[in-house]
Amino acid sequence: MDSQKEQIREAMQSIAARRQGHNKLVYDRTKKTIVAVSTTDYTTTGLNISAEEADMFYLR
Amino acid sequence: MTLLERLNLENQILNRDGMSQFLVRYYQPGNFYYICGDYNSSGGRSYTIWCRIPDYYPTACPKVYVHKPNPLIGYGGVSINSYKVSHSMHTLENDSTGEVQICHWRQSRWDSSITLNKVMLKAMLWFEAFEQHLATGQPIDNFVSTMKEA
Repeated sequence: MDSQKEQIREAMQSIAARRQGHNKLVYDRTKKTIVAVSTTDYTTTGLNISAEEADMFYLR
Repeated sequence: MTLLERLNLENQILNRDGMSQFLVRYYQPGNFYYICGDYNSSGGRSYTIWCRIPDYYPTACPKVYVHKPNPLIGYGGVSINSYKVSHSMHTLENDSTGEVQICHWRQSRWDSSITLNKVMLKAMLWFEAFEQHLATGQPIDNFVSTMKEA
């Protein structure tokens, strides 16, 4: 039982980590600069520009 | 719609989107419209973007240049100006003073519905990618995708 719980917990952590790593580039009107934000919680994170994300602009 | 009406609309959009630093202005002695504004990157560097609005805008795609710094020094001390037309660096022919021209839109996909706020967004992304190039030495197209053919 504990083993199952542990597996579920690890799986949840893995999903959470994957989501945190998925950023979108946005233009922050207040800062007047492009920032990368997590698509899940919109917390500003470090820039992580990739080819796939390059056209994922939107305005914040 | 006249050019002036269009540019008034463009300025409204730029203001709405928080890009007042890139408002279109009129240069009376030369009788042309232009954008000359600063972009402060997420990395804390400052760049000046220069864009003369073409006479046949919006039918014609505007050319966007790096006014400052000039030369623009890239990874390893190599100037971006020296690349001139470069697919991997997303640059086109320098202007007469050697300023780097940013390739922001594929000509075949340009049409009159595209507004200057989008052009400026593309230019700002190019600077962010340039700073990734500075940090890693990798070409700019490793950080921004190439627009597909129409």
